[in-house]
Formats: sequence, structure tokens, C-alpha cells
Amino acid sequence: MAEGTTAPDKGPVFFEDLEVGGKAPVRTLTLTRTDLVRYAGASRDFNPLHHDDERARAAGMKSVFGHGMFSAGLLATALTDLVGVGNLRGYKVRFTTQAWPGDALSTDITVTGKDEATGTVQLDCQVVNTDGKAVVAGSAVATPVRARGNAGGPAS
Amino acid sequence: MSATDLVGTALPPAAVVVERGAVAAFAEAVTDTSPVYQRADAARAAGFDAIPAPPTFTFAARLLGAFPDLQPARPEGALEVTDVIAALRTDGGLILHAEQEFTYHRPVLTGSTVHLTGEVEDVRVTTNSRGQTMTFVRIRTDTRDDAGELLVTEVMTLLHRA
Repeated sequence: MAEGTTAPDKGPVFFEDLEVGGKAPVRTLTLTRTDLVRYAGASRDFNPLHHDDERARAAGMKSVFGHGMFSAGLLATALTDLVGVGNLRGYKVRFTTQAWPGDALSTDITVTGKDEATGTVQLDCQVVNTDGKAVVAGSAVATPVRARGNAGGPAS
Repeated sequence: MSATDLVGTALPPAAVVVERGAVAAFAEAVTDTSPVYQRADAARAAGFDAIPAPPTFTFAARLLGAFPDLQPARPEGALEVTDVIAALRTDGGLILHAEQEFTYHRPVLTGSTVHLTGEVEDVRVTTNSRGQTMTFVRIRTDTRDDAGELLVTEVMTLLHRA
């Protein structure tokens, strides 16, 4: 795990445990250049704006900044921590602002809907920075395990 | 060229080997410490036939295991995403990754080879309040297994502002 990350140590929840309006445990991360280099290597996204300060400044940015898909990946991690790996059915995000090294990022996930018949939950999700501004914001659909038997098979 | 001419343009198809090391490193990079991504026994216990890939892995898949000897023929007129971006920027302007959307059908498993196809499915041109032209380009990618079963549908929305 990246240095400075905090994550809930509880396992995924059951469908029955989730209530509309309920919040997921918050994951936090103080973004470092190391996080960006690790993501660049793991995703093979070597756009220099994400690891080369000189190039980033030449492009008019104050420094390197996070890959949008790094923040989206961090948020997906918080989602699967909640609903269980394999139980996401859909996930979408908008990229709203840059994440800068030193930013304290935190995940914010809210249950917005629940369908008993299909075992599906809808979630709103975002990663916010120190100012409470969204870095990425979106929504997800998931089928968490039922307390008695799973509603569906693993998907992602 | 008008941006709307890009609608229907295919991306080059790709065959991608989903390697365990690539998946483990990707999970670590998105700060996911689940043993499901690191241990075959934990993946089996979670109901998977092999270690699965994290939810956003397929976004990077083309760069993580599309070995040259495995690639299908490139169809006439197919464009890489970088080519689409270059086409949009013919007269300059700024490209932003505006949105990313995933629909999950079945897990993407390590040890398998997956097959990606894609196309520019929609182009929408609007004008913002400052009179700039905003062109939204939706690029869909389908990831399938060897049997042709759909695993993940993904849509990347690029915004060209000029």
C-alpha cells in the first residue's frame, strides 16, 4: 500500500447491511510523486505531465499532477472494499479537477438506491481534495453478496 | 475534416495477455491491498477461477500485454486513440479526458488472453458560454474472452476544446 494511505480493515458488506443514504468507510491518501510514478509504471502511462516537474511547468502547470485514472482507480478500490471484489456491475466517473502532490485525497461514497428484487445497489462516489472539491465524481452499480447466498457471479 | 466524420472509426483490435504480475502491480498502484489480487488461493476463495483484474485495469490493458506476435491484422482506416486525438487537434485546441465509464459483465482473469475491439461511437459538438467549441468524443472498447463472451464494456469520453 502507498505510504500515508489509510483504509478500513473491515471486509465487504452484505446487501442487507447497506441503506439508502448510508456512507462507505473513507479511504484517504496524501498524494505523493511516488504514487504517481508507481501508477505510471503499472499502467504504462508515461505522459511526462504526471512525473516530470520541468515538463509540467513548461506546459503551464504548477507541478506534476495525478493521472485522472489514478484517482478513478483509488475510488474503484474504495468501491470494491465496500461491495466486494467481483460485485461491481457498472462504474463511471467524470474528471473534474487535478490532484496535486501533497493533496489529502479522500473517498466519499453514498448509497443512493437499492433494489431488493435484483439485489442491486446504486452508489454516488467521488474523490475530494483538501478543499472538499471533487477530483473525480461519478456513480456505480453493484450487487453485493446477500447474507444468504450471492445474487450474481463475480464480474469485477 | 469535421470531427463528426470520426463516428464509426474503428480502433485497432488487440489481443492482450492478462499477466499476474501486471495485475498485482496495478492493484498495488491503485492502493488495493485485497489478497484476491495477490494470492491464487484468496481469489479461489472469493469465487474466481483465477486472480481477477481490478475494475479499472482494462483502461490500461492495451499497454500491458498486447505482445506484437499476438496481434490481429489492423483493419484499413483503424485509428489508435492517439491518432484520434491528433485528428481532433489538427487546428490546435486542448484535449481532456472528460469521463470514463465501465460496464462489467464477467471477470477479467489472469492467465487468460482477452480481445479488445473499439470504435468512435459518438461525436457531439457544442459551444460553451465563452464561445469555445466543445467536441465530446465517445470511444467504446469491448473486452471479450477467447470464446467471444463480453467481459467489460468501456467508454472513454474525450473533450476537445478550441
